[in-house]
Amino acid sequence: MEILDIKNLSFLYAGCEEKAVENVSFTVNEGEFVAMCGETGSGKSTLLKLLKRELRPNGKLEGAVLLGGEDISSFTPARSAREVGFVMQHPEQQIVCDKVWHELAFGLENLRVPEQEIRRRVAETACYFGLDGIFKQNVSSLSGGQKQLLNLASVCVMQPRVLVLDEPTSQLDPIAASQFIATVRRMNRELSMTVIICEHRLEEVLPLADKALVLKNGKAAFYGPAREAAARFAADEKCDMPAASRVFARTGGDGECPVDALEGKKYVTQNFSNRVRSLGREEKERAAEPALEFSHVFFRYEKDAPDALFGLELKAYPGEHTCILGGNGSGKTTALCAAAGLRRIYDGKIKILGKNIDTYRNGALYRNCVAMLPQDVQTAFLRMTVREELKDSGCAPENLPFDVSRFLERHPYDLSGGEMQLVALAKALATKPKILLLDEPTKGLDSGFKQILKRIIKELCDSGAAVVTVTHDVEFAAESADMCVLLFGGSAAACSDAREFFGGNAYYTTTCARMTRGYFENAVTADDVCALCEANGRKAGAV
Amino acid sequence: MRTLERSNPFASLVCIVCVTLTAALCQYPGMLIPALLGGAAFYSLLAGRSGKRTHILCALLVVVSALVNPIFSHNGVTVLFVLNDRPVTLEAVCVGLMNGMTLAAVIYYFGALTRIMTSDKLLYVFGKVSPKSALLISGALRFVPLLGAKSRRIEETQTALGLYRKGNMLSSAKNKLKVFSALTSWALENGIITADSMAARGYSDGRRTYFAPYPFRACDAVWIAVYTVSAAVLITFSALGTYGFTYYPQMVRTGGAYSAAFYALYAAICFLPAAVELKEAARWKYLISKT
Repeated sequence: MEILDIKNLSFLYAGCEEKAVENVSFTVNEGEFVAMCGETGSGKSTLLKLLKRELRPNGKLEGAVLLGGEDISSFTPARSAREVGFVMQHPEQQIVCDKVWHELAFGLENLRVPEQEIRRRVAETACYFGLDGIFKQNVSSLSGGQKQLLNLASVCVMQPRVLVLDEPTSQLDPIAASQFIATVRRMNRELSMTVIICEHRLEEVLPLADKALVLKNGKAAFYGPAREAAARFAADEKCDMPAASRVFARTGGDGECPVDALEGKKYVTQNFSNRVRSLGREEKERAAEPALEFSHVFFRYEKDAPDALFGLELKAYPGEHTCILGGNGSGKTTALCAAAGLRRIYDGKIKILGKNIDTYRNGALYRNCVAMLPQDVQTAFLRMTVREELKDSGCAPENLPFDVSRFLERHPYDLSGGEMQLVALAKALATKPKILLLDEPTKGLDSGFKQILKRIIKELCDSGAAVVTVTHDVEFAAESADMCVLLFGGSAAACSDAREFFGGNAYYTTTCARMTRGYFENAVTADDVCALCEANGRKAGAV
Repeated sequence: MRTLERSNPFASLVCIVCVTLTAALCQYPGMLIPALLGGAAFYSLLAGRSGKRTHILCALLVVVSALVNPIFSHNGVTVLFVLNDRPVTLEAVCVGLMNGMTLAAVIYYFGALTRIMTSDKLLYVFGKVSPKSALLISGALRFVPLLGAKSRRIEETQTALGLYRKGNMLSSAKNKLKVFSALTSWALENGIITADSMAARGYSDGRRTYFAPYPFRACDAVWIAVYTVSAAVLITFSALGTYGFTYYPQMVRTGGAYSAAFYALYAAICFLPAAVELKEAARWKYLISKT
């Protein structure tokens, strides 16, 4: 049964020339899972907001959104709030109240549901979403993943008919993201909830989706079965289709397009031989002295707290990109902050360019030496425009390795996640660092910005600097890192060359490595897999 | 009877306000001693070891108040000694002592109250009166720690980018100002998204219910009735002069033959919270020892 009918929807932001959404029409059946994709600025967010009346931005709207046959503009406020649930990108900013139970009750309080009914609905929702353990806690004590789950639950407690999610996992680590997607999937299957979700990373969402909507410049470029979308747009870098589909498209596959690791493996093993099992490696010459060296470092936040860093040994060499990976609470960010001199260790030694970190005084550490960008890059900005921001740091916009002219006069907070990362990076590069420390630089970035970031890091390494990145993004690490370190419990559990690292890991690794495990060796990126497929050639008789 | 901690927040609030209000209005030795002891006992039971600093603070307060009052007040007939040509009287020392004890008792009871009344309980009480302001406070309570964390992160980032040097006073004041302005922009930005999220979940200017997981039981009514009636009786009869105590010029017990009954009543409501707390603890021990 048809639940949503979007008819010739167009939207023009007030004060803009070009339509953000242009003549988009599609219908969604009840219980369908729709994935929406497209690069930054393709109008995804705008389109999603148009589906929720309360969130419609200021501007000129044409066309209509019909929910169950009725135009949502004609709904009463209570009905409109109830029937479409909307979860936004940032987990933190959507939360209104200070206690978990109060946040869950918030929507129902607004709808003036009687207290007894609220009690029941809040209780059953908390159980379904696994929030009963944290029910009485303060919201501030929750992790990002828990916060986003709470946001989902506090929308679902109102029992919406359609759930709209705008990049809900972009700010989460991969494990929390999988958990979140799994919960959405469960609601879709068990409660036949209609879901419309937009994500940069389609690796996990697309295999679950019934249909996909691909947006290009505000227009619907495709709407139909998800697998078909993967086949049609896999070759398009900007669409970020799953790795299996990309390999399929680049190796000229024919037939049904694989969308996940299992199908990808079938495709590769059935179509290509494995006479050549691994790629030749280019050896990079390593500098004699590490730029950054941790020897036996211990750190804890409070006297009685457990050690956040537990005898950490770490070396980062100039000219190399070192990626630090690991789960939440493994000490990744703490290690980075310690290297930037923001945390004082209580035992062990940190050497920066061969000298003990304590010998750098009066900010000498931050002059042509170390620079760090935190996860929350917004904290790098104190001015009203990007131009002033860059001037403060003493860098000329025209000398930057990337183009910022489009948003020079904008307020830094108005930039997209990717643009913000670039401006912050420009500020860090202005100190001409020999060691650049980055914390989760790819969070919330689409593939276009990731490419720019990779290029900048490569150029920096080629000029002899050491880049140390803390990241959850295994695909990024596999494509960009020279060395990878796995932190576990505050110490380094593994440290090796990126290809070996991901080739050797069975769980903590890229989709491509999972896809080719046991068939090829150390093929960790789509490039590797494609090169190996090409080297081996198609099996005789394969389709 | 259930402990005040597990009662309806209204009951906890009313009981403690009644006890402290009576102590503040009727500052008689016969009232203050049970108030102080009852408060200290109740607080200790709730706070355990973590209450050590409060005990020290209260003891200091009583001592300092007893020492300071005679310096400013020279009323009273019993001169203890003369200091700088000024008499130091026993009455003034006692008044200081009593003032100190009143303050200490209030600190103990309110210390206990803050341990019992977590922010959500306080909001529940507000919410019954005005759901709107309760929501506002809940939002504010959530926002304050966020703001603090953000400000720390900004300073760290600026340091790591080499833009925030610890230098002379002027430059650090300038830095703080910049951080403050960034914080305000962030708060506004954040506020807009939160407002969107509120609107998306049906928040409007209309009426709303207020939900809180605190049922009101018969036991809560008993607590409230006992305490409001007792406080009313004690305050009224104190005002009528049925019982009482004067300090100046000489310390004299005033009032009639039934004074002792009033003091006993007050002592009872002072010790009741601690007693119930003890009873519950004993019940636990008993239950555990049986299994």
